[in-house]
Order: sequence, then C-alpha cells, then structure tokens
Amino acid sequence: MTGDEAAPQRGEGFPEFVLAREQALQRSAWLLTGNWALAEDLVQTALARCWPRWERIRDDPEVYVRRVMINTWMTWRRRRWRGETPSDPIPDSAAPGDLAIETSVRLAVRDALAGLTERQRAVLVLRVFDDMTEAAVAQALGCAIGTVKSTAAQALARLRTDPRLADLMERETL
Amino acid sequence: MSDTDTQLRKLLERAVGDPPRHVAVPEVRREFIHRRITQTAAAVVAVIAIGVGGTAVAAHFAGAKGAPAAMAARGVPRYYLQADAAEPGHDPAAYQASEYPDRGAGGGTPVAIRAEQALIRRTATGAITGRFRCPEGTGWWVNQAAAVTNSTFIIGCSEQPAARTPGAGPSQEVLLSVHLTAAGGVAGMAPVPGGHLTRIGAGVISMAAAPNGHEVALAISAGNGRMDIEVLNTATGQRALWRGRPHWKYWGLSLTSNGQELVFTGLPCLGVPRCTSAGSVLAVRPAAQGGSLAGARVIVPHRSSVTAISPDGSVLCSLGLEATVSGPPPAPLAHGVILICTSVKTGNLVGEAYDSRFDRGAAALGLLTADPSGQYLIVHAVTGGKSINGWIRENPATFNQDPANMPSVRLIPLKGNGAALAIETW
Repeated sequence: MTGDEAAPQRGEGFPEFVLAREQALQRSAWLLTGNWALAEDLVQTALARCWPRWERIRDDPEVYVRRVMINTWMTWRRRRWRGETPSDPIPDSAAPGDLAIETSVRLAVRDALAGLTERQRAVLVLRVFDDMTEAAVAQALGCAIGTVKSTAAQALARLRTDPRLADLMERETL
Repeated sequence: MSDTDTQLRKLLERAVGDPPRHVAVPEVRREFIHRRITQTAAAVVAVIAIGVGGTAVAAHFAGAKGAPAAMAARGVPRYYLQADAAEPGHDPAAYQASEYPDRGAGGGTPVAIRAEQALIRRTATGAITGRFRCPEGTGWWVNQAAAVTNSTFIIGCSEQPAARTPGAGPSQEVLLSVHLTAAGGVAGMAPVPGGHLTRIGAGVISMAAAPNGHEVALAISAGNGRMDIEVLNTATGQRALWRGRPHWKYWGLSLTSNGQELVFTGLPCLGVPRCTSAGSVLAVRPAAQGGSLAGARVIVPHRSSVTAISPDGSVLCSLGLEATVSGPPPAPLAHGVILICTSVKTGNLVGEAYDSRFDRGAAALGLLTADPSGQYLIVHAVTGGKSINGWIRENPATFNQDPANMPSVRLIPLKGNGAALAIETW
C-alpha cells in the first residue's frame, strides 16, 4: 500500500467535510457544468483527488477542494468531453411549484453562463455564488487578485447585457 | 457585495435548486481506488511498452495515463435498459402470477413479453439518452434483454402476432447486440451469431448473458407442457440444449462470468392446475454442454421469484415476493419483498434485506438484475397498485445483517417505475 492509499484511512474530518459540503459543492459544480450528472461526477472526482492530500489541507480544505474542482472542470473542457445530451424530458418526474417558471429560470441562467469564458464562469461562481473573498478566489484559481477583480467585472458586465437575465434580475429585486 | 452581485446571487441560487443525489464518502472512496488502479495500470502498460516497443510506443501509452476520470468506467453502470410491456399487467404479470399457486393461479403457460421499444436511461438522472425498436419492423417486439458490459446489451426481438390468441406464440426470435455510445445513445446493433431461433413454441421466457458475452442462455416455452433451456455460444453460433423435465417451468436465468454455471428457478407446475409444489433454485454446469435438466442440482431448496448469480459463482441472490420475514423474538413477522443472498458453496446466508411496504396477497411481478460486475442489483417489484424500482449500491455480501434487525432495502430509485415495466437490466 502506498502512502497515498493509506491517507484516506487517516482522513480525520473528511467524512464530515463531505457530509457538510457536498451539496454546496454540487451546486457550484452545476453552475460550471449546467448538468447535475456532470456536477456529481465533478464533485466526486475532485473529492477523490483531494482525499490523499487530506492531512495537508484539512485545516482549510474548502479553497483547495474548489481549486481542484475548477481545474478538473477546465481539464474536462479542454479535452472536449461533451458528456451525454439527454434526448427526452423525464416524463415521470414531479416537481413542486411552477415547473415552467423554474425551468425557464434554470435554462436562462445556464445559457447565460455558457456564454462566459471558463475563467469568467469560475470567478463568478466562486466570488458571487460561493461568496469567497477575492483573495480566496485568486488562491483557488492561482492568479492575482487584480485578475479576479477584472475578470469578475467583465463577467458581470456581460451578464448585465444578457437579455435573458436582465428581466429575471429585475424581478429578483422586487 | 454590490446590489448587482446580490441580485445575481439570488438568481443563481434560484436556478440551481437542490442536487438530486448526494455524494457520499463510499462513492469518493471507490472513485479514489478506481483512479489509483487506472493510473497504476496505465503506468504498467507504459513500462511494458517501453521495454517491448521502444520509446515511441511508450510515449503514446503514457499519454493516455491521465484520461479524465469521468470518461473511465465507473463502478455503478451509467445507463440501464428498460422496456414496458405493450400490454401492461398482462404479459409479465400473467406469467409471474402463475407462480403463486396458493392464489389459484395454477400452472399457466408462460407468455413472451412484448415491448414496442426499449429505452436507455441514465442511472443518475433517469434521463432517456437513447431508444430503439426491433430493426425488423412491424410485428417484431422487444422480448428480452441482458447486459454483457455496461455499454453492450443483448436483446431478443420476437415476431409475434398483433393480437394474442391462445396457441399462437412467436414464430421466430432474433438476438441482437446493442452497443451504446459514451453518451448513452444507441451506437448500433448487430446480429448475434447463431441468434436466429425458430420453432420456439410460446416464445423465449427468460434470458441471461454471461458477463464475458460468450454465452447466452434462453428459457424457451417449447409447448406440449415442456420448457427447455438453450445456451448459445455467441462466438461460434453453436447452441446446446438443456431438455426440460415434463411440466417444469424454468425462469430467472443467470450465468457466471465464465459461462460455466447456469442458475435458474424451476417449478413443476407447467400445465398443472392449482399446483402446490414449492419449486427450487437449480444449477447446471458446464452451461455450454447441454443435457437433461432432470440432473440439475438444487442450490436453494425453495422457490424464488428471480435470481442472480455473482460473476464468480460464489453468491446467489434471490428476490422473493410475498415472503414471510421472521427473526428471533421479539422480531415481528412481515410480508413484502425480500432479497436474500446465500453462499453457493455453503448455503449460508451472506446478506439479506427486505421491504415490507407491500401487503400480503398482492405480489405480481419481480425483476432482479445484476450488472456484469455483480456489484449492483436492480430490484423491481409490483404488488397490486404499489411498486418499487431501484438499485442497491452495496455488494450484497456487505449488507449482511442480524436477522433480528434487518434493515429495509435501501434502494436508490430508478426512473420508469410502473406496473408495465417488464424488462430492466444494466
């Protein structure tokens, strides 16, 4: 057994972290991938990559895990793995509330995010959705704080002009 | 955070919603182990390639080392095949209900399933990623399906009359291999060598494929109060006949990965009104040899709705319906769906679980399918107006429990649950 394989046995706090944060990580992953199945795969892969290094990162794992998640996602994108494209809605699923409105919001956000560059989307998710500080985002992405600021500004400017989102954002303020 | 940021964040939160599934530590552990194995295997291949083929070949293989994990095969099959019977509540239910003689169903003749189309669904979401019909056209129905790998299925297409009439069974059956794309679409179909069956009486009633894909076993209702089992070698197209005993029904076929062991349920009730025989789970080997099923050995001395043998032949899981579950006092009696896994060698219980949400006296249909690795089981059961459909995450050997404190079956739900569901495999 290698040292890495032994590490998970000593991964004190890892199960608790997964239990506490996997949903939040999946939500961020959905914003990156636009697909729950891929989001689940992404979180699982990121956690599996972090596990051997848990002893080193367990004091503050959040930023490291998110960094691995972003890097993994970018790697998948570079390899142009498309994943599946379901051909049919699921006829037997039930959803509370107004399904049509929720779906239109989801599709509008997903499409708008798809129009951003990888880095813009990553910055937006970490900075706005995950509410990380600019310094933490910079650390997660391995870039300067100034780059985070400018990238976030570009991303927000782009979304502000997106007609699919403008109306929805106004409604959110009401 | 500015107002715009706040608005956007609210919008993002609204769009995201809640994940449909949880990521659990065991999944992460499997992913980690899988990655390690993949990387180690790739490294070994690269080293061998250096020695054998020189640095150019080695560099090629080393380049494949870091393949994205999401593209690699996962433990849980990513897709499953599913088909609804064209006559809900008739085809499979009529057959399965006949296995409950205490309800007076007697020993009715099994009838072949007829499904207009089969769907490929993603395990995680239930999304339909592919669908197909029998390529032969009108009058042909999807009749059986079995998984060979996570992306290859063997299906049976049968030519059957448009309307069911007594004594008018399918005229022929064609076996096809169906290949999936990485995205779960249907990449193509190809005839299985030797897979064109004629003179099949009332049709193919049950089918199993060895995980290596070399053997396919078919329980065929031969007519005249007899059922036979044929084992097809998919490489050579040769078929071996296991001649059934008179008035015995056979169903719930499964094969070990090397195709050696063929396991099935047998019940001496074919054409016997108000049959009260108990039946049993039987096995023959080597499966490709053929012979008489009268010589089959008894693995489990009681009847089961359906069974699945592990790829290595060591563990047999049986799905029982309308079972009576009892344990040492003060464990209560319960009736419902019970999944029992026993050691083939010793007969000892290695795991069991049950779901008691069903009422006694309404059992109608059960499906139990193991994936080619034998690690993940699909369980489907319909009793009256209730049904369950899902898969079990654990290896059956890992849910060994104290009989006095058995847990409910922890099924991960699968989409497409319903009384019409007749074929489901992965």
